[in-house]
This record gives sequence, structure tokens and C-alpha cells, in this order.
Amino acid sequence: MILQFSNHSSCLCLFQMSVWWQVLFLQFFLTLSCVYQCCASPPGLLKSYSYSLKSIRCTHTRVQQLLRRYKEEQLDNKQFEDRSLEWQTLPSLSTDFYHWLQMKDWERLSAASRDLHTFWAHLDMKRREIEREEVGQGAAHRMGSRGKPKPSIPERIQHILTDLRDLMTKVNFQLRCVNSSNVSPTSPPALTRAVSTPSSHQAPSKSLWTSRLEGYVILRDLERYLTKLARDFILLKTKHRGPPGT
Amino acid sequence: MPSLFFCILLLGLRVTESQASGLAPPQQVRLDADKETQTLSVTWEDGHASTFDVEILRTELMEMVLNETVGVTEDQSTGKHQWNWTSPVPLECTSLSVKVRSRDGQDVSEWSSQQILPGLDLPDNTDSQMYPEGKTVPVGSNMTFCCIVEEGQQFGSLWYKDTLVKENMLSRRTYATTMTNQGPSNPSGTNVVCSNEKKMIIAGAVVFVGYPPLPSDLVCETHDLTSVDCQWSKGRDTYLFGMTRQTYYTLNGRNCPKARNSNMRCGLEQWDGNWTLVARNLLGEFRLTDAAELGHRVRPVAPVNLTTPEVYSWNASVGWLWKDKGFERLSLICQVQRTSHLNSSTQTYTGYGLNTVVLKDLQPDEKYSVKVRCGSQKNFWKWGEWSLPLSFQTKMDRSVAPDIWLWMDSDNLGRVLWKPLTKSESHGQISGYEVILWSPEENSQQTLTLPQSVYSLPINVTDLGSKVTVTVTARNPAGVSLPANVVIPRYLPDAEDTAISKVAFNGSGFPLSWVAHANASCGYVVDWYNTSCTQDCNVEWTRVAADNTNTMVQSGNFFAGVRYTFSLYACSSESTVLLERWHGYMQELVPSRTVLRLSPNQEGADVQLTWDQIPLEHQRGFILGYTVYLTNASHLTLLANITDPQLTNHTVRNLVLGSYKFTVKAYTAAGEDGGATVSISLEPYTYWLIMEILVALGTMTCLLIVITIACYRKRKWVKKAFYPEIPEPKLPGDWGITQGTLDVKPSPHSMVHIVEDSVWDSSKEALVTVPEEDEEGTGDEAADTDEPASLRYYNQVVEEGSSSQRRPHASDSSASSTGSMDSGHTDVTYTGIQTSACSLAPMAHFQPQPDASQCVGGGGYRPQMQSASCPEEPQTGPEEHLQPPVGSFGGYQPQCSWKQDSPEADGDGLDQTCLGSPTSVTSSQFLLPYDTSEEGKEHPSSASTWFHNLLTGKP
Repeated sequence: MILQFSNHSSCLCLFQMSVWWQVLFLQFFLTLSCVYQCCASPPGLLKSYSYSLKSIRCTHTRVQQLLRRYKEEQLDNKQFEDRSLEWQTLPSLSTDFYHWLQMKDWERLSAASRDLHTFWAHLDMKRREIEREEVGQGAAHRMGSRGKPKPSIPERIQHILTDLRDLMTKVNFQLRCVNSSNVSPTSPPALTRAVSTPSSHQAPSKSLWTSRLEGYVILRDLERYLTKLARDFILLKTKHRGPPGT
Repeated sequence: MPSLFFCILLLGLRVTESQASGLAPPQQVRLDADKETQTLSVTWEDGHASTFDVEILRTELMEMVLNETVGVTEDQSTGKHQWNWTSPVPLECTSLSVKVRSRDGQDVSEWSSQQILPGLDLPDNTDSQMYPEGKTVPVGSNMTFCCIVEEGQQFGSLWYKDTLVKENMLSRRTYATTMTNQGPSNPSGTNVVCSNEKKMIIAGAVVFVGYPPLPSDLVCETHDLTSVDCQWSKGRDTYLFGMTRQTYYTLNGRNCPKARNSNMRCGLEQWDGNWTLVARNLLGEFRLTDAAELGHRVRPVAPVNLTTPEVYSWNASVGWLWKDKGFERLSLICQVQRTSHLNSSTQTYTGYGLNTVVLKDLQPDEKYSVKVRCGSQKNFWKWGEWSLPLSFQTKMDRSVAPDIWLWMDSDNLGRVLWKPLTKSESHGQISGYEVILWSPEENSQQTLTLPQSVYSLPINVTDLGSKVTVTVTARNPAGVSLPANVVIPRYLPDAEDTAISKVAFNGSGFPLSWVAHANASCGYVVDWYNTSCTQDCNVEWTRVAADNTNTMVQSGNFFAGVRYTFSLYACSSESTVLLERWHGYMQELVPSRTVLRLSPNQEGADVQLTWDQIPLEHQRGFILGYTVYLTNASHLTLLANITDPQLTNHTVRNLVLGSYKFTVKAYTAAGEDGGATVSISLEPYTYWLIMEILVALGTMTCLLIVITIACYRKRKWVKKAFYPEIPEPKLPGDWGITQGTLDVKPSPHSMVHIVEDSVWDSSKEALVTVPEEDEEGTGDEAADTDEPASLRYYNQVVEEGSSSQRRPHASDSSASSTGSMDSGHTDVTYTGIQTSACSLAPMAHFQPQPDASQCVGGGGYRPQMQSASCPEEPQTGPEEHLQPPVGSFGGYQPQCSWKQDSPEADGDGLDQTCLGSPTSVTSSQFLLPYDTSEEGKEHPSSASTWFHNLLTGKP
């Protein structure tokens, strides 16, 4: 819906160059109104789900790549895998299939918003830790194969954090759209909520190795979670599109 | 059991011994562990001795770790003894048991009570662990790592980075390994991990191996005469990163937070005169010091606000300001760097509080960029920073006189040429040129004004006399330039030159030298152009001072393989005289094409090759000569090397008859061209041919004469040999026939009509019938008669002409005569009497045709025809001959069924059956058949045929 309007406004600009500012204002107001139109219009929400799905897939790829590099650089083992490691404060990835299938849209979106935020907090905390460990390390120590310095792991994590933040914004917007038509028992979590550090991190005895394993667990679980989240949005898209033929 | 007894005995002895010594054992032994440094502190009291025995064991396996006698003095203030021990193994790895006893010489006290330092491998601590964790050690150090396996799991292996290392068991759950001489770790440290029996990593630790800091070259200076700025180089890489492990610097005790990576500098507000830099990391620290007076370390900041108060055509002044007032009272040395599109130069100025300089030798109408930096003139230390650049443009001025030259195409026609003025010469935008031709003799003048884009002018000096001077001036906004004059030189083409030297390119140009000329008051001019150019040539020139007699002609327009003509002129105000000329190539190449019009000319056994020279533009080098090759397939055989390039012919001598291919190549210093090739086929001379024919004819004539004479003299023998008398048959009994010539008189009803057959052609050789009256074979009269006549048979050689003449006669006389004629093929001598074949032939073959008109091929009665036609079809299959060719013979074939009596004859087929039956159907005489053997086959060649073949040369 937004895209359609944007195209329309572009055409308007072409034909009415003298009233350029008027068109811009018009576009601005119509864009604002579109937010509410999107909530009300099923095609708008459907497109929003599609964008979210694309964003999830993109972020998932980034997390996969970072996890591979993390294992190689921080754990000295590209093949490192330890399914037994868990972090209780991270969202659980196991769920009952029938329950998952019968979840309401707002429940699904609320859970996504909450879980994304949790991952974001853990990942940001890990980014800060690694940054502290890498102080003084110049770009010369991270030369890539083409002679250019490749981004450090904290920089890569920062990219993913940005992706997650954008994704949370989209999900919260969709949650508002869903709640505008259905009475929501809960409100979407605020992005400014304070990040609660996992309790295990407060332990003074945490070793560097443990810290590295934490980073591994966060990235591993985030990668899995994004896979699950992609399924969530595929289901949302499917449900929203309605049965075939309708 | 015996060992137990022995132990008890030993213990008893020791107890006895200690009791005997009287030394009191240490009391209140206490253990304090510093796990970070792996140091164990043992304190005890009441040990009235200065030496003690210390024994440390791993509690669980009771393995001895240390058993040492140490000297420990009592701390007078506390009354305690303290002894420190650094464990090579992390103290967390396993529990240690420590006990101490006093020693005085050989006397020892009892052991103190055993104190245990608990490890982290106790059962209540079930997790997997790895120690030490996060330690930072120097490169080359040895280090022991231990892995405590989780309760209930089995140890698997230990890995140092990606290397599997060998482990030692310290306790039930603890395994250790020692790494020696460790190398520097990567930025994220070195991982040491421990895995269980399932190869699952159960614990890990990170160790950082690096170096302590080692900075160098601390230098402190001032930029503003107040503060200090110190710099140093980082030195060796420490391999240690992170908040806790990186290197920290302090200068005179103040932190240097900005000293990071490659930016190793730190500043202080005031000049102290002495500075100490301390670099510190977890592995150690390093100190650097520097000391200097303020005046000796001045490195001024960059001047600011550069301006150009005055700008002229050839000079300008530049001023600037100092941010710090102190520099206005300091003796300074400054560098001013000016950059134009031509070049960049730096000039140095000095002065007290210097802030203005004058730039000289500038170019008019030129954009300049200047920047300034300064230093302390007294006790110069370093140049300060360059200021920001300032740009300005000088004013315009009159241009320099153009460089002009004249190039004459003929006596009166030529071109005035001048070089475009460069930016450094024009001193401003050129608006046009003015050309003046004037003749002092004629007192006439022509003035032409040309735009700035024109650099040549065609002139015609026909009406201006012999001495014409050309003047060219250039005009720009600043005014008119000084005039450039040249007197028109006399036109002298190459052909009129007596000698043209060659000049070689030496890599950078053509070096020319000449003898000084008296009348060269304004110097010399060397011009050059492409020699092969004929019209509107690109002429370049250079001027040489009058006191110089050599120059190096250089140009970017020289090309390889192009001949250039260089002309040297002496220039004076009165005349311009051509002194010398040279030809030269920048690089000689092989000719680009071959010689022209190469043609061979046979002269008897010799061949003269002639060609034309290669055109000049294709020579691409000085032609040094020609090489002549004889081409045989792809192989070239050198015949001659002509070293005179003017010679364009060559004669190849004494060639035998045959075809020849010659290749002529011109060559330069670079080599030969591709070569022009020409072919010639040598033919015999005409008179030799005539001579050969005449000799052959003469020989033939002589031979014929000899044969004729021989035949004449031996004519009787010849007659006997070739024309023997045919003996009369001697028949036994009385046949009722009179002896003599058989006269045949056919019955009237048997008269045969002779039908002309154009198809049938009798052979040239034939045994012809002749009338009895005409024994010599010339009885044409007898042939004309239709009357039946008596015929006689002769074997006779008939020549071609006579045969054709006589055949109609024979045919007319009688059909039976014709049959006899055909039998005359052979040189048959009747050596025996043969039975007539026709009389022996089956009756089927002897059926006369009642109607001769039914003959298809013969068209009449021709009893002997087959004998003439058969030799012409020797290849015909026997099947065809088995069938009597009735159609072609009209039925009656009295001789066709004749067969040789000889049994060998059967094999030759029926084609021989018709040959040469020497008799007529009406003849009652028996004639001899041909011999069918190989020899017999030659018989059909009559003497006339043999002779004819001899003459015609046929085999």
C-alpha cells in the first residue's frame, strides 16, 4: 500500500513540478494515514509479513555466517558443536506443535517481539564483552583475503543487532495492527525496556572460555530461533492470505 | 607383610631419633594460596630452627610434589616463619598436603600435622573445569594446564589450540599437561580445551602469550613555545589486546589515553625539560626518558592566513600570520614552496619574526600555489608543518618573439613557419600574429595579420626580388612581441647537392656536427623533414648558437623506418645559406616491399635478372645491396650478393636447360625484405633444333640410299626372299584339269553385283587380285570390264596408295578377287599345300545366300571380308565369333569356316579363322593359311607397312 502510493506520488511530481512541496506534504500526510490503512487492510498486513519474512531470512543468513566465524576465531574450531550447552535466560525453542499451530496472531507476534528483544539484549551484552577483549587490536590484525580489513566480530554483531531492532519495530507495528482489530490482553514490549543481564553473567568466576561459550550459545540459539520465527511468519502469511480460492 | 614391618621399624627409628634430637616440630602450620600467581604461602610457629624440611604431596594420589630443606628465619614481629612456594601446577587442580619439620644439621624434629590445601576436584564440585584461566604469560614461558573432569565422566583428551597434547593424571578427576616455550597467541588468545571420552569439549581456558612493551625513540618538542608534545615508536608488538592486557603509557606520571596503535604521542601543558615515559602491560613495564631545552626543540606550528599583498608579472609578495605571538620574537627560517603547472620549487628565507617574503622569477600570466613552513633559525630542530596553500595568478606581459623558419618548395614558393608559443613564452593569451615580407632591394613590403591558431603562411616572393626578409610578431593583451626575422634561403633540392652524408640515431637524437661558418652571425638553423614527403611536409627546426658547431636533433616526431633529411643553414642578417645536408633513420627497418619489376631474360645459357629500386618510402633504411637467390622449393641458394645498391641487374651464367626460380632481396642494416621471385624456363636454341632435324633427315636419307643400293644389288636375293615363285601344285592323279593358271569363269547366274560399301575399309596391306595380263598390278583397264575373266593369284605387296586405287578395280573384277586381295596381308610363302577350309567346313557354314540383297552389313557378295575385319577386333570375345556373322556378310562365307589343321590353332579362337584364306571359293587351288603362332601373328605386317613404320618412327 505504501509502495503503491509512493509510485503515485512520483507520477504526481513529474507532472506538477511547480507544486513540488505541496505534493511532498500530501505524500507525508497520506503516508501517515496509510499506517492505519495498513492495519485495516489485509493486503497491507500481508505485505508487512512478507517484508518481515525477508528480513528474518536475511538476518538468519548473517547470524549463520557470524556463528561460523565466531567458532573459528573464538573457539578455534569451525566444527565446534555442543548441543548440551544451554542458557536458561534465552527463549526456549521447543514448543508443542498443536499449540503453536493454534496460537492467535497477536500471541504469535507478542512472543516474537518478546523473544527478539531477549536475544537482542543478550547479543548486545556479548558485543560489549568482546569489544572489551579486543581493545587495542588494530585493523591490521583482521586482514581479509583481499587485503581489506574485514569487520570485527563486534561490528558484525552490531549489524545483526540493527537487523533485530528493525525486525522488532516491524513486529510491534504488526502487533498494533492486529490488536487494533482484536482486543489485546497484553501490550507489546517497549524497546526501551532495560536489558536484564543473565544471572550467570554476574558470577565473578565466569571464565573467558565460559564467556566464549555463551557467545556461541547466543548465536546458535538465535540462528535456530530465526528459523522458527520464519515459520511463524510463513504461517501468518498463509493465514492472512486465506484459503485458496477466496 | 615384610614391607609393613619394615615401615614400622623405620618409623620407630625416626621417632627415636627425633626424640633424641629434642627439636620441637613446627606448630600451627597454615597454608595460604594465591591462585592467580599459583603461590602457596606456608606459615608456622614454634620452630626454633633456621632450616626446615617441607614436604608437599598431592593429597589424593599421595604423589610427592616437593621435598625440600629450606632456610626460613623467624619474623621477629610476629614470631612466625613464612615460606612461599610457587607451584608449576595451578593450585585449583588438585588438593595438596603440606607438612613441615625443623632441622638442625642432622637433627630433625617430628613432622608437623599435615595441612591440606583443597583443590577444586573435590566431589562436591562436580563441574568440569580448566585451569589456569585467562592468564597472561610471556612468550617462551612454560605453563601447566589442568582439566578437572565432571563427576561421572571420563577424561578424553587435551588440546592446546588445535594440537592434541599428552596429559598426566594428577587425581581421579584431574589431568594436566605442560606446554613449553609457548609462542605468541593470536589477538583472541590461545584456547586450551579438554574433552571427554565422547570427544565432547567439557572445559576450556584461554591463555594470552605475549611480550612486555618495548617502546623506543622518545622525543619531546614544542610547537607553540609553551607546551610539550612527546612522540615515540611503539616497538615490538606485544600480541596482547583488550582492556586488561593492552599497554598503557604514562608521561611524567600522567596517563596518555590517546596513545593507541600507531599514534604514539602524548602531550603536556608545560615544558618540563625532562620526561619519562612508562609503558606498562600485564607482563611488565618499560621506561624511556628524554631531556632538552625549550629553544632546542622548537618545531613551529604552521603559519596561518597566507596572503599576497602585491602581485606583478614577474614577482609577488606573500605574507602570513603566527597563531602564537612567541614566534614574532623568534629568529626564523622559512621555506616557501611555489608550484605552477610548469614546475615546483622551494625557496628559503630567514628573518626575525619572519612573516613576509617576495617571490621572484615568476612567469607572467601563471597560476601559482604557495605554502610556507618555518623552523627556528637558531638551534634549528625540525621544520614545522606546512601551511595551507595559497593560490594566485601573476599579471600578463608581452610574449617572446616567435621562433620562425622558412621552407622553400621552389625558388619563389615556400612557407613561413613559426612555432606556437608555449604558455611560458606567450605571457598571456595570444590574440594573433603579424607577418611582414619586405625586400630592401625592391623597397616593397607585404603585411598580413593572422589569427592565433595559424602557424604557417604560404608565400610567393616572385615579385619581391632575390633577398626577402620575413618578420613575424605575436600579439597578446599586454602588447606586441619583439619581431622575429629571417632571410629567405635559396631553394636547393637534394638533387643539386653534391654530397649528402648519413647520420645515425644514437638513442636520444641525431648528433650533427659541422665546420664553423664565418657568416653565421645569428647562429645556425637545422631543419628536418620526411625525405619521402613531397608536399605540405611537416618541417621542424632547431636553432644553434653561433659559437656552437654541433647539436643533437631531438624530436618526438621521429618514427622508425622513415628517412629524414637534415639541412644546416648559417643564418645572418644578410642571408640564410645552406651549409650541409644529412640523411638519417631513427631506426632502420627491413624494406616494407620488394624490388619492383623483377624480370628474367635468357641470353643463351645465361639469365639476366633486372629490377627496379624500391620506392624511397618503402625502403625504410639505407639499401645496402641486393642478394640473388636460386629458389628450390623452399630452399634458397645464394647466387650473388650485390653490395652496390645502384646496381639493379645480375646475370646468372651457365645454366643448363630447365626451369629456374630466382629471388632477389634488397637489404638494409635491419635485414632483407621478403624477396621478389621470378621464374624462367630455359629452352634450347632454335638453330640447335634445326640442326637436330637436319641431322636426323640426313641420317635417314643415307640409310635409305644404302638400303636402296643394297636392295638393287641384291635384288635377285630380295626377289627370292620376298617374292618367291609360287610353285605349282603337284597333284597326284589326273584331275582333268590342265596344268596352269586356274581360270575361273563364273557362270552367268553366279554373277555378283558389287555393292559400294562406304563403311568397309580394307586394310592397307592386302593380297590383291590382278588380271593375268597385268602382272605388274597396273591393269586398270581390266578392272573396268564386267566380263567374267580368268584370274590369277599373286602374293603382292601393295602400297597404301595403290591399294586404295586398286580396290574398286578388284571389286569390280570379281568378288572372288576381293577375297584373294584380303589374303594378301601376309608375307606368306606357300611352303605347303593346305586343304581348302571351305571344302572341309561344315555345311552349315557353307550356305550361299540366294539373295544378296538380304545382306545387312556387306550389302553384296564379299567372301573375304571377314578376314579384313577380324584383326581390328582382337579383343572380341570368343562367343561373338562362335556365331557366324551372317548378317554382316550377307550369308555366304566360304572361308570363314576354314580352320587350321594344327591343333594349337584351336585355342586362338575363331578370330583367326577368317584370316588370310588365300583362295577363292571358286578356286580349286589350295592356299596356305597364316601361321597362328606368335611369329605368325607378325606376318600380317607387310613389307610396305614395316617400311612405313620405319619412316614414321612407330614401333
